[in-house]
Amino acid sequence: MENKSLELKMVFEGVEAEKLQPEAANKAGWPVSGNTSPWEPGQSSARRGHRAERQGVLPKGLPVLAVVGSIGVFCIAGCSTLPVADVTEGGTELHTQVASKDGLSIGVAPLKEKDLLIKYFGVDLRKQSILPIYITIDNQSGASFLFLKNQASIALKGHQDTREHEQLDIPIEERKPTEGDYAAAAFFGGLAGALTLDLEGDSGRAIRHNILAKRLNTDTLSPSEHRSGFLYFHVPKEIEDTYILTIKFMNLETEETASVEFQGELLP
Amino acid sequence: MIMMNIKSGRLLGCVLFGSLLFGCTHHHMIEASPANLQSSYVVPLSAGVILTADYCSYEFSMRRQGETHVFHLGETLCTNTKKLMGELFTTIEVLSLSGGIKDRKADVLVSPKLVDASVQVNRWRSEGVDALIIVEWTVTDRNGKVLLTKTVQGKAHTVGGPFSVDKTRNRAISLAIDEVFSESAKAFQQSIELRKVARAL
Repeated sequence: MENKSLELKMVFEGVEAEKLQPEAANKAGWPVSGNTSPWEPGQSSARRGHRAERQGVLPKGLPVLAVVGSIGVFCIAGCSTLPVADVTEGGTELHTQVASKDGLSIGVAPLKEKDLLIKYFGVDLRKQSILPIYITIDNQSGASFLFLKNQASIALKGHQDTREHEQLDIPIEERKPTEGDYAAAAFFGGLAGALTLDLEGDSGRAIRHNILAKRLNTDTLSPSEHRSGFLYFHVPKEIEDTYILTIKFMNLETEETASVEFQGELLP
Repeated sequence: MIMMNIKSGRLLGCVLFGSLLFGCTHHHMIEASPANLQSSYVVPLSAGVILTADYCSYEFSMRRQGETHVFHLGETLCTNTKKLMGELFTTIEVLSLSGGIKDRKADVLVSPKLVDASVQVNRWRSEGVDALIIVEWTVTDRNGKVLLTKTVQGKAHTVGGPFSVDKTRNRAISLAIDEVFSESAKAFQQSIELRKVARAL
């Protein structure tokens, strides 16, 4: 144990010594013979350290510095937070398409731009094959409607065919993707409901929390009510096709279901 | 004697190493206050409240730095649901799916479902803990026609020191549950859909 901590100190020392010029090193009390640094290029840090130990010139204060540095690194790595913004409606940065049906006014804005994804989610979700779409719904009718989150779907129109893509289903329990998920992803070409995002750890948990907090959920819209939020779809990042987004509603009185379609390009 | 010390030292080392490797599981019971009703309006309907085992025994677990924390939320959710429904409707009857719900006399059936839960801890920094609980309420008539679906989010943010993370986190979860029930009460009391049903009966 003692040897290990000594070795760690020496590795730390070796790295620092490389950065110092001989004169500066001399001033700082580092071992310098003439104008030549004792550290020769190509030598491993540990070996350099052993030489330093033999010479008995381990600089004082470095162990303390190492411990303080380690605590600092631990704090930064283990306590990540995501300073993310909330979407302010009426802003110009989201390119929204608007459509109306049965007195409902619906706006959709797929978030494809990296800077906007980082602004709202703290991470480039497109890299994780997730496409967030911001939805706003205004009920300007005199009836009540039920927005059906699970029936919203996206299809990508490629050169040859049109394929449906699933909504991101965030499991209640935090978990890492299992081998079965990867197998399913490989089998379905990555389009199945396999979770590609590692949602464990501090940063993963922060991303998951943010995704959930901003999600548009199944809800009743009474007359003159407004709802907004994101829906998330599994769309591989390399796909740049045309998308067709379908949003569904049910009139609570008549139980009739209506749908609204939006079409756009996935290219940012 | 020395041999004994070496042996017990090794044993202790193994136990310590094992606990570092596999971590421990901590169980937390979360308590919440009864919903804060902003209005005294009672929905003039009798309700059958369907409480499933999934909802009433729900546990949220998270792993952090090798340790597993299990939060027993179900019992609190269930108790608060019964209490809130009792205050919101004229009469309530608690039902379970296994007990059969067809022959019941209630005007409407209310089923809560825990959609998601999330807890985010920012250790060592002053940002504290964020908790999020999402509950979906579905109200149907006796024939299964959906009258109302409301998804309610309870969000809470608490701040504490680096050495009181457990307390700060449990308080955040507890406050998030409080908000779920306060928001749910508001949603039921202000629902024009439920008023329409009551008028029609």
